[in-house]
Amino acid sequence: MQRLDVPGLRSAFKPQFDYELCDGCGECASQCSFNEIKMVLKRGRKLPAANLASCGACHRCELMCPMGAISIVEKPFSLRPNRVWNERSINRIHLQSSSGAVVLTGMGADNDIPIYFDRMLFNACQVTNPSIDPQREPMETITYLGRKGASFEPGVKNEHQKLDLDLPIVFAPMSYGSISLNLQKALGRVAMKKNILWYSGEGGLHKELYPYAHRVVLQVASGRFGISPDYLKVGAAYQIKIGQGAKPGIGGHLPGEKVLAGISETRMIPLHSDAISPAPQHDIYSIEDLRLLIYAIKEATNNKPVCVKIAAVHNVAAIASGIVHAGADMIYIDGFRGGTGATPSIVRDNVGIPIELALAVVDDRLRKEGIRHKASIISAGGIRNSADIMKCIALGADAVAIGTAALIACGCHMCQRCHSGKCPWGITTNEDYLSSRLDVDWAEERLTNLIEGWHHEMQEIMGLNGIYDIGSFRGNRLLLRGIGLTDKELEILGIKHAGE
Amino acid sequence: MPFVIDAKGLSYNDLNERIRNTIKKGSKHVLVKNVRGQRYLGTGIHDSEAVIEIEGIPGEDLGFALDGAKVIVHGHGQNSIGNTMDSGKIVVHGMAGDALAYGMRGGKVFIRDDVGYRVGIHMKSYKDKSPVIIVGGTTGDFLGEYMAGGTLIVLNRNNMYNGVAGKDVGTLATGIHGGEIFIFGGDIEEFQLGIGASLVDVSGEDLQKITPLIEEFCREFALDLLPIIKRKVIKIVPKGSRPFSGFYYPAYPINTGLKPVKSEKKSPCELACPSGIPTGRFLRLVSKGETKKAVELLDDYTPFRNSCCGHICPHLCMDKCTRGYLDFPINSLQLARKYKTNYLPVKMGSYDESVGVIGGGPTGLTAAYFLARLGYKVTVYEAEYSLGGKLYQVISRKRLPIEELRHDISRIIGLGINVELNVKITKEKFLELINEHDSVIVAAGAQKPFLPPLEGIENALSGFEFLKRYNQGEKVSLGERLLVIGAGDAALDGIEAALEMRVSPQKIVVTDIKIPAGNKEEIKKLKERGVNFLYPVNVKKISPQHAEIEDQLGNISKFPVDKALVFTSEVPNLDFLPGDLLEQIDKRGFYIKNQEGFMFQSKNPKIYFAGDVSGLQLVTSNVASGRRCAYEVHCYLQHLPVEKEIDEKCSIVGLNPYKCAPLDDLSSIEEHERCLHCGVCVECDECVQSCPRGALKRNEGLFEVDMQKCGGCGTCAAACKGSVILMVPRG
Repeated sequence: MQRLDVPGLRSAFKPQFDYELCDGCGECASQCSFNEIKMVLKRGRKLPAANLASCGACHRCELMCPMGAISIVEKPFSLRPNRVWNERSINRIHLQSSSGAVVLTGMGADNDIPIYFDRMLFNACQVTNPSIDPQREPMETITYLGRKGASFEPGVKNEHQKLDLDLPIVFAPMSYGSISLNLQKALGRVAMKKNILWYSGEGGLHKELYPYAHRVVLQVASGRFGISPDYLKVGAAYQIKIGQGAKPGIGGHLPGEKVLAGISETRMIPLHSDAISPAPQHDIYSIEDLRLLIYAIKEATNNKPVCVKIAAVHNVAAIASGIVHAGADMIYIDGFRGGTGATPSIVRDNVGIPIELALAVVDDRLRKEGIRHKASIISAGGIRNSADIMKCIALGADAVAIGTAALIACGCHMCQRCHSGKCPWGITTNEDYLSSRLDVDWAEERLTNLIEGWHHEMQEIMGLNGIYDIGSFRGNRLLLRGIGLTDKELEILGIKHAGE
Repeated sequence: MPFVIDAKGLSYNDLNERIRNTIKKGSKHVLVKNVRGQRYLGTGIHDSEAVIEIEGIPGEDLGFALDGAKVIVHGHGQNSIGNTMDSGKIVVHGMAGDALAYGMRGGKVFIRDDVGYRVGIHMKSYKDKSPVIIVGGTTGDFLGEYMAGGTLIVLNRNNMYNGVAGKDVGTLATGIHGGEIFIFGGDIEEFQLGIGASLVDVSGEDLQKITPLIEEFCREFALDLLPIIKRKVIKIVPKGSRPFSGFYYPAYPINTGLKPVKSEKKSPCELACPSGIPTGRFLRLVSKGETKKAVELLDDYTPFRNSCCGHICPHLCMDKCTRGYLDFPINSLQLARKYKTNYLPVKMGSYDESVGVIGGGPTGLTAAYFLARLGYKVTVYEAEYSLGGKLYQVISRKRLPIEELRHDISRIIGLGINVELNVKITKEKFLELINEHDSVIVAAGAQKPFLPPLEGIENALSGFEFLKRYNQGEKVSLGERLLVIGAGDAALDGIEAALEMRVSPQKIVVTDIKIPAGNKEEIKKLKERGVNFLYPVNVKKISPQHAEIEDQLGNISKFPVDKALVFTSEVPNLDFLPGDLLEQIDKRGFYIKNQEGFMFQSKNPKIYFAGDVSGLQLVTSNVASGRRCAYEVHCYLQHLPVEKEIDEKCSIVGLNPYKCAPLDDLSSIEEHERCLHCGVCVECDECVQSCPRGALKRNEGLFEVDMQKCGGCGTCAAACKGSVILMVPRG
């Protein structure tokens, strides 16, 4: 048989062993959940060796080696350099010509699409207006999500339920199944502690997570998994999932081998049966249908706020407007770079638009229609730091969701193999021996630190602009200037060019 | 009496609020009159005793997320009835719209008449909670799309023939991966079925299951059960619970693409041994402490273990031993001497046929042994006064102690073999034997000395004759100066005998036309004692006083010689054969055996030829041919096909001697501990213990891989002592 798709073409990394330091304990082989490392007998000694087949540079072995004898190195791509036919394109062809299948990947798009966050810069106070030192002066970041009145009148109570957040950060929806229960627990705990929100994703709410339900936004998606009467009672809010930034327009598919006991119980489906979420919700074919479901959920949940999550696509502004007219209290927009547990890479890398542009046009459209107050905007999709968050806020977001960043805080090394269910860091897996690698207390501490650190930075950015309330920052596009952007891009973002 | 609420002019919020409050206050039965499109009726009521009757036409999402209550609609229903319903019951006395019971998890939905499109999409069941939808009329397209569980029954009460469950191509139950759909009284075509759906016959069990449900339906609407149920019914089920498995493939490899398989093969020693003695498997039993079993195992291969393996065999197995690449080969000689065959062999069966074996040498006795073990009546005819053939007659007693030979022979005879000694086979006798026995094996060996056509060869003595006479105790005068032609093992025996007879080593000249074939160690010892070895040289002439010897350059030197012993070759003496069989004899006198199938069978299928009659061989090779011949005779007598022996060598790649450290001192370690067990599973469980993911299970011969856990890293294959585990591509 001809071997065209030699493993050398498929794996771009390999573990390198320093046999001077290695004592042959075998820890690396048992840590590697991708089976890259085998233990071989050489002259009576047991030593690790690389299979050169499946290393994904997760660095688990490197960091767990008690002797520090491993380093992950890049395997040089040995074909003649070609900008068009690069490693990725060639690999893709080999994968598909051997499998006839759709190529699946994990995490957000990593291709070369402009990141507008990096092309926008903040203003700062100099001489003519004083900046504020957030370390000594009060800084208000409390954020309310939900439908608000058109104007504020003292003494008149808003009839709509709202969610209060100490700072405008939420944890992006990641279902139990795509991530481990331990990580969901950590997210829940941090959301409780920092008074922010976490989202359940579509996989239902595991019984051990009910203590954290007070701060969770529970999802109603096309598969309607795990939606029990209790589920409809406990959440802080409910989210109708229409689309996801990493896979706009397509459904979800949790393969049967990942439907383990806990997931089966939580999703309320038989063990090891596929959990298929159809691409559309077949009871929603129009804005009118969406309105039906929004109010149905409100009716079933005693008027809890309802959020609608869509992917950022070309006519996102019109869709968002429709969603607000349909009665949603929040719109969650997931941009092009949004993460995923598993998606066809052709979809991830080619469908949708970046969140910066989507957010700018949605905010603009809702303002122009005079309905901006009716729904809060939550933006998501490739948020890497507190500056990205503050840029989103300045572009008009009420709150910003972080997913991948939270995973990285908990040990993710971005090997992009979430879909395998073999996450060596116990993050995107539910196999006991792997998921137990993620300690809930440790993850909670890491996430808390991350939120606190970003909170400080956000306050710094507010302070250096002389703003002490996040409300004055929100939608304040004058705080931003573009750099190296075209007129059209500046127009869409609604910002001026640096120097103007 | 139901509590009556007039819905006229009420918004759905207010109406629902009033229904909920009424039920909370204790009026479990509520009749809502004048309903005109109010939505979500029944939603938010968590009371399984509540009954809500509706007069009029309710709005969409009737009973959204219904939790236990019963909702009865006296009129038609709208879209999305029973959306995401959890439990309870919805009964509609009329028609219902599209997207009925989307994502329904439990409870029952009964619609008296027709329903719209997309009914029962993504219904699912979990444990004992299984939803039921019964439609009295027909349905639109996409019935049961993505269905994951539960029961969907279309009764088609009006016996529509077309469009009972939609009519478009590939829409019915598309993507179904759980649950079942029953459709009564219509004709469903294959083309209507979507991906993953299949039409199957309805079993009695199915009917038993759905009849109570239909009965319940009929009670609700006061209908007759029999006319409904006494009709043709078809059933649609998913092809599997994974309709889209294989649809996706990971972009980055998630395993090595390999899996371990266990494949035991012959070890190099086993393959090298002409008799095929499985030293590897022998040592596996030894290392498990089952010495008796180990020794018994070898009974299947040779009856001459003590004499051949323990003394005279050149041990080709040791040449090929993998351990030899590391330090020293496994010493088969010592093994044979340590673990002697003392047990009596066991008879395996009983047959009526009798077999005659001509020749009581290693071949004949081996054939007799295996046939007797199988249960045949065997008679051995030996020309000499004692059994053993050349082992007894020629081989020096020093190399092969007579008591070892006697032990082996007595074990063979102990199987109940008749022995007739001093039987000269003549043509008449041979025909007599053919008549007497069902089969005859000719294992007469090569007894006739073959002297090379040298000038003065008549002055020489056949070494074979000399040894034979010497071993019988006869004195043969050799004189003082001795020339030995040929330097094989037999010649060495002759030299030993001569030295024994006080011939001075310095006066012995040994010549050979090639590098001597005899045991190197012994030749070295003889050289040290002063024996003069000349090779490659050519003896030109032997006269009573001297011999002329020509070296490679053509120089002829004369050696004074009293006696010359010729150890060149022997040929068989097959004069007794009938004429037709003589055709199978070559011009030197050897029998030409077949290349495949019955290799030892002659033209007369009763007669077999084995051993030295077809060419001189090692004793161990003759043992092998005796065994094979016995097998062929058995196959012939029992009308079985002969099967070729499979000589599949174990993986060379895996045979890595560097898995172990070399040893300098062998005294402290047993051979079975040194053995690398090439191709043999020694049940050490190193594989099971070494697997980083605990994916392996082994029990006796069983070797199980949990492919959910295994990622093909290859640690088991590397750890396997015998390289029995191979990594092969998956799928």
